[in-house]
Amino acid sequence: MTRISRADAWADLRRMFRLRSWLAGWVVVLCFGVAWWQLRQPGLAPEARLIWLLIPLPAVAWAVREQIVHHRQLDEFHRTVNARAAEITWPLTIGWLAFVALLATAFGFPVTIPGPFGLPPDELGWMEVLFVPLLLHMVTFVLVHKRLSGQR
Amino acid sequence: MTNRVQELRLARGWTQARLAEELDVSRQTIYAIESGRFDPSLPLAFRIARCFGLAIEEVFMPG
Repeated sequence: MTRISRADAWADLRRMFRLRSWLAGWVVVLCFGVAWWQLRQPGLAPEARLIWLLIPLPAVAWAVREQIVHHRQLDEFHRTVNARAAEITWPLTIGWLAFVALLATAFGFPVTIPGPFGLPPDELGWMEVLFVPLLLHMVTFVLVHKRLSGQR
Repeated sequence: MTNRVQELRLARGWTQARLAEELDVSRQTIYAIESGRFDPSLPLAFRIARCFGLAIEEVFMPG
């Protein structure tokens, strides 16, 4: 088995990874987090509530645009890996969200999901709702990529 | 589908990275094609054949 050079490994990474798409994703998470935090403040004026509700929208639009650009830049092998990963992760994500919705229906909003890293449930429990699908996609992408490419 | 991509590439003394550059794809694509884990699309298969100066059926064979 031949070892790939460091330069090739970096070239592979540069082809797969696009900083702006990655940043856009985290900006969306940040916007949702801040908006969620603000909307929980008691006594928030209706106008301010509306503004905080709308703030994540431009971020989502930007992230979608960056993802489209990123997708177009990928070669067909990586598009295939992405498509196969999505085939697996979307049903899992929908299943996960349906399960959360079921919990919410059974126990009312907000669902007291234990917060990550030992944080209290009322503070950051919903972060898991966002992070689990993200984590699912990342893990599936790595597994599908390894299976298709032999990780070389 | 089987292919002769690795054989043809090595005959020219090219690395996977060099062939990937010629075809404007990632080196991982070349590795995946050579190892038979990934079947390229028809346009890419034609580009690969053209790159080696051969007909598509001389590079890709039904497995």
